[in-house]
Amino acid sequence: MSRTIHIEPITRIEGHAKISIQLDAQGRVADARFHVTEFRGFEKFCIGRSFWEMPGITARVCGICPVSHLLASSKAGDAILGVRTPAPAVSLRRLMNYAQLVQSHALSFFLLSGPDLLLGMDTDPAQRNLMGLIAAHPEIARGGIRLRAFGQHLIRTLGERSVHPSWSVPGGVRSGLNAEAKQKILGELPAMFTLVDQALDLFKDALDRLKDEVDVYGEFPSLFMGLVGEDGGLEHYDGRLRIVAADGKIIEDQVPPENFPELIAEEEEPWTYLKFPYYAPLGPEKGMYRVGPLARLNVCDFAGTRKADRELRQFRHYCAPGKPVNGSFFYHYARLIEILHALERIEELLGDDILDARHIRSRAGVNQNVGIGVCEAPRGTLFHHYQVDDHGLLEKVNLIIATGQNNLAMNRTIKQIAQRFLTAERLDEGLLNRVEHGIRAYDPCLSCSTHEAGRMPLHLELHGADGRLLDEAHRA
Amino acid sequence: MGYGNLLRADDGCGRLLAADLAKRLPPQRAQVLSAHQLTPELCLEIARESVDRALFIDVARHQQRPFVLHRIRPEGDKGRCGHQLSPELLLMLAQRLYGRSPRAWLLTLPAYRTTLGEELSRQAQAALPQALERCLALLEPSRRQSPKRNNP
Repeated sequence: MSRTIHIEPITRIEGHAKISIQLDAQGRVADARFHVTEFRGFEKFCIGRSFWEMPGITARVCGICPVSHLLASSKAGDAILGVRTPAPAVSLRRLMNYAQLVQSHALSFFLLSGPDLLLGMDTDPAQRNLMGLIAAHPEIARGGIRLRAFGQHLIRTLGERSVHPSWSVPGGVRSGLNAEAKQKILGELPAMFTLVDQALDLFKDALDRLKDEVDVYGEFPSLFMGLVGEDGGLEHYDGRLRIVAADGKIIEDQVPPENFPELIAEEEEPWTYLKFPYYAPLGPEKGMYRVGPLARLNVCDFAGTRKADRELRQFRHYCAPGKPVNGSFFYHYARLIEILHALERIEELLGDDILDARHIRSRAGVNQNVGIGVCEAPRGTLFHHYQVDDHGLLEKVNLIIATGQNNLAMNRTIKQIAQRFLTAERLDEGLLNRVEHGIRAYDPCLSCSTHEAGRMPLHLELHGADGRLLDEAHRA
Repeated sequence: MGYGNLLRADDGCGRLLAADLAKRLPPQRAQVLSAHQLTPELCLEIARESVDRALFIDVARHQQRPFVLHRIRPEGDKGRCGHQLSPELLLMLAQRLYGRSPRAWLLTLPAYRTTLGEELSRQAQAALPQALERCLALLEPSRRQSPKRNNP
């Protein structure tokens, strides 16, 4: 007789979800599913609004990475205007994007995943939490909070507020950065670099201790996708799409972001609101791809900044020459490298006189009826695709969010962890937390990634204590 | 520190009250913060040596009274931490990480309408001026006579 084990809620991720593990008659893991049980409806209720409003509206998709939506939406608006965004505005937007990478990655690594990484998966759950982390490694908790505060402060300095700033607009940005603010931020940077160095040391120690998990979590072949610059370097704001296969071969390169519909198709399943994007030419089975920090470091040729490139070389010791790092556990490592890179880029940008220029916004009306804006959010590549009428009112909205793009890989990861660590007879805390941590490695933002109001069919099942299906209901 | 969502009607009342307080309190004696939600780095603000009292302002659904004031203390909330925190956990972070946690209160305003929009419910509108006076009495006791009762 088969049995289903439910784990809910998944703690320390944004949003709500549950996981079910399906056992076969022999008590072995047959399948595992990551159910996302909330939906938002942004793609529907934005229809009829003006594209000018979209940066402000879509920033509300998320309280963690509103900047990504703000920027992708502004870029889609740039395309609708058909104007060249002034170079100083692009530099200012880049600055805010890097600040967001720092604050978001810092929260994920130090405060959400830190307890698992530094205290161990089998530690008593009463201790394996933020307070346990503070007791064992107060300097790491303080470091995470300082990095968060640094990123949030920079976002607030540019956009007046750190959550839901309405600063970037189609055509540019609303305001620049004064000299005093620049100096203040530059003055904080040395301490931030030190904090990341300390975290890198601790993480490398954890890699040795958690060898079992490192070898299992998401250690499977897949495609990886991200933006790269014209020279193949790591890119977070502009650039073109690159897809790398599991054998390291580049199968798509320098694809203009507006051509993404040729690369990506989406599937739906009745048991989750989260869609399943895949690389269209290979189909849903073979077309599973990952995005986010791990993918970005796998697809780029180099980081382009000194400290991050040094770490990137070490990162690539964890895979065969010329091949991508497959293990999802390395998302954590990739986050730290990206924080380092973002800090270096922030230092560069703040030293560039271009930020002092006054022309920071181009003005125009609707010149194109379709606008596609793409940038790299902390969790991966973010697409905003708008179609407007001649008055700029939205007729179609499609948002492809990082967490959704990792959906196939997250499900695969859960199954893999369950197969390795679950025995039918014993459901211990260590197993439950490993499954959760497998998801947390992707740092999913579920409130971002669900947006299919009204279209998703529902399938409800009622299971008895013995695993028998007692009742079920369908909504087409 | 007022927090909430300004686009969810009454949910944003904590921030509206904070904005009113900012107009009434001398800036050299009080720092007024407004936030969408309580996030971990805010513990740096309340752990400053210059802070001797902290007032958190939130809303409570279907609260009957115009405001309810509670003394709150650092509590670990079982150590759970996500992207948003309780004020008690924020105090705990300040204490554990920086060795300082000021005396603190949580004032809640009534929330009867939390749908999309900025229009407040009748109850929330009526509560704001009363709550403002109570906050001023708490934060500026030397200038006002502090009522002994915590709640109306």
